[in-house]
Amino acid sequence: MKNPVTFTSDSVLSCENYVSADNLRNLKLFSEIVKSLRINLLSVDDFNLDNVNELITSEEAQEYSVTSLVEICNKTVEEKFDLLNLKQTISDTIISAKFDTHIIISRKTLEEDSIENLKRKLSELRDNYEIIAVKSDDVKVLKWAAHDRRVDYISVNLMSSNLPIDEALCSLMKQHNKCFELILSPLLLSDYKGVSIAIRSGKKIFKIIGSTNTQFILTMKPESCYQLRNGIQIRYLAQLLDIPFNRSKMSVFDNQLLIALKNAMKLNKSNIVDGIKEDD
Amino acid sequence: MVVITRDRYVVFQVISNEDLPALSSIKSKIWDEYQTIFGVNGTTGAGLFFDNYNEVEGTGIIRCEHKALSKLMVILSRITDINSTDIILIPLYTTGLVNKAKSYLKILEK
Repeated sequence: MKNPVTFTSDSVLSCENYVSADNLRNLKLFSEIVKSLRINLLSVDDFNLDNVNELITSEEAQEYSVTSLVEICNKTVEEKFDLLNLKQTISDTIISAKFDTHIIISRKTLEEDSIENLKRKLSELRDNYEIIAVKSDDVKVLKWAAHDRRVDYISVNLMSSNLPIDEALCSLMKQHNKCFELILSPLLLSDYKGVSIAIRSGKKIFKIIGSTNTQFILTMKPESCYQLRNGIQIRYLAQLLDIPFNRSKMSVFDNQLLIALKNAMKLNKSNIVDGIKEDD
Repeated sequence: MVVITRDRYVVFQVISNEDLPALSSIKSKIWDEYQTIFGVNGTTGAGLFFDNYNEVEGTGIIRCEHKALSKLMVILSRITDINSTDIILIPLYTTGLVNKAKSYLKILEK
């Protein structure tokens, strides 16, 4: 038998991509649970870059080793950086700190019914958030969002009555390297009718996503701290939606970290080359 | 034909802000959830057995058949409360050897 100290299950990294800012009110309980579950990457909704900096520098957060992506990047990045190497460096940093580092990412979810409103909101918010997701029941809005490079995810609610996803949208998403974000919190409901509806629509959604090989990520969107789940638990829960365990390997940490890193580097002014200005 | 069933041992931990639940409550909650999601037939094939539960640390071992492991993991992930107490059941380590599971428990309890 191997030496018990070398148990190998310890190096699984996890991300929660849709934490509500209300969960941070009881920071002590939240950080205890996050530490036990080993969730190291947390995207907080409705939390802009200033809020993240405030949280990191606040006295309350000092004992929980909370940090931001930009802060880690500034410590590790060299002049010429490669995104995949940087991702590996950050993963190694988390593991070497014995999963005690918690990276907070700012995020905004836009729920707009028209393309005009979405355009307006995006131009207002693009510099304040690292991650921007779009949620809508209108396929036209989603198809427009799939084209736009400011949008990172399209959020899919398993409880919505009509499915706004079709193969054309999936193909657009694939073309523009975007991810679907599947929210699994309905699977934890105690109302079994709701769970049944969520499983049924989840299976339909994955059938379309899987057939077109579009990228997706999995998240819990916890209403309370007790609904947080780590990467392995999320992958097992996703099996209820017929998502095979091996297909969800990149969907609980790697894709989220890559997208967040790409955006953090873009927002970091020192990395923008002189003479290049991006259109709004 | 000889059918060999291979067992899996899942080391789990209960996390709660209040008093940790008794083993009997955890057992009945897991059985109930398993029956609701996978049915009576699925539950009989799971071969669940609870062992080495430490009420102070909230750690223990669940034995199941290897084919039922992923179903057990789904059930552990689905549970959010026991007797109106908010809890999380975290599967920490999975192995096919009971001694290895017990030695992992010992490390946790140190």
